Amino acid sequence: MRGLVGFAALDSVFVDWGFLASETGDDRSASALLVWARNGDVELARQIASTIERLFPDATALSWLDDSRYLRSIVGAVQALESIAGGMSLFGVIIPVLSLLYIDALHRRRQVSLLSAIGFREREIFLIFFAKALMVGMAGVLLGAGVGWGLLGYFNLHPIYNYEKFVIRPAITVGNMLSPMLLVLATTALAGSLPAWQVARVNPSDTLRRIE
Amino acid sequence: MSGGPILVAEGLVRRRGDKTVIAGASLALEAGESVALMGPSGCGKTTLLHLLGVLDRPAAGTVAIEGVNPWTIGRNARAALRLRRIGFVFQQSNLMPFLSARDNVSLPAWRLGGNRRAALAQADQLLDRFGLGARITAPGGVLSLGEAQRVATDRALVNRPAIILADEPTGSLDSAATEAVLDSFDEIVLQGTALLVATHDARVASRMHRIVRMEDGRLLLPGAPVVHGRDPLDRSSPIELNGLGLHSD
Repeated sequence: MRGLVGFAALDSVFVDWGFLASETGDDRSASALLVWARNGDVELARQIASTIERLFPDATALSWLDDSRYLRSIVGAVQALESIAGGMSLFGVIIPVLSLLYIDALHRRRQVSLLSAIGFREREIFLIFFAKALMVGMAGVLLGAGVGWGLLGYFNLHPIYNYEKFVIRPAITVGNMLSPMLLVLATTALAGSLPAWQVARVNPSDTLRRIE
Repeated sequence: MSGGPILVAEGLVRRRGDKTVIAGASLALEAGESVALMGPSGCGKTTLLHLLGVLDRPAAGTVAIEGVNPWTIGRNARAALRLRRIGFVFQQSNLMPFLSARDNVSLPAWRLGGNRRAALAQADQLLDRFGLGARITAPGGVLSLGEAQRVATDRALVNRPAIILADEPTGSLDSAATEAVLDSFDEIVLQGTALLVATHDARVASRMHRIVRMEDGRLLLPGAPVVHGRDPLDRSSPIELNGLGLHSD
């Protein structure tokens, strides 16, 4: 045994294959098979583990998450924190985007009224401001994706966790990159639609008769 | 002048809070007719123009443009009516400050025809005629007041509307620019466009076929006779201004 991993991993130890082979004299020995499925899909991992046990009754197979209650609770806690942080980030996006676009819409009421007077439809005015919101969102997403890509690259070179040969590196997948991008874009669109809708319904007469 | 009434307003009422801003205004405009709307500041001229131009809805009374009551049709149809049949020249030129003069003028034509190149060509032609050929690329925000007002006038003309509603169009212009704007108005009136100009300027009023006077939201001469048969470009003799004691130069 090379050591315990974690602070309370009392029922699990992690060893590398070389150490296990030297200890047992068998380079293919293992006490259990832990199954990890793509994208951390626990249900799929459980199904695979169950199939392995059915096909090889002497083997012990578990999904990676079921190996340790500690690990399960840690992963659960991390996922909860991730959800909370994600929710906070969404509010962090919604509020400034909403404010920014609302102020912009107020500032441009006269121009909007003018478009209305010229003969632009409400839907067209809405789409102009909505497209603007999407462009703001897209710029933020691209900037964020660039920063995120850089950080992922950095933490791949300098892993967050590196103990003995147990190394944790961030996974870079299309899903990991796309899902937050789409989420932020959708949030921006949602935040931008309210000012766009309000400005599209402005009474042009009220605005244009004001002297500025 | 030619044709029948292109715009008919009857008993228009507009209130703001407790105050009645327009109190039963009736007015008819014929194709090829120019009318000056005169009255003191705050008497309701701008509000009346907005009611006639379908920018604002009357509390009572009706407006009909070429026989169509715009408040009985849908919002999109109303927007299309403004785009095709009505041209506005506002008190302040109200240009898009970040768009060039030609882009400002071409905007309604582009929206109507969907062909940007053709719209820009129309804009260039109009701007050139107004003596703004050298300023076509200047953004709306950097134009002088006079230039901006002439650009705004071109924008109102670009779709060849049936009606032009102008709110103090020459208020910020010098004599030469005023003449240029009035000449262009004369020209479009000759082509059959109806023109209603809210103005304080007797010189501007003298160039119109008739004058309607307004006070406290009421039109004092709602049925004043049109000076028929007069060429608006002919200023060889004074125009009878409906007994208001005003005469052209």
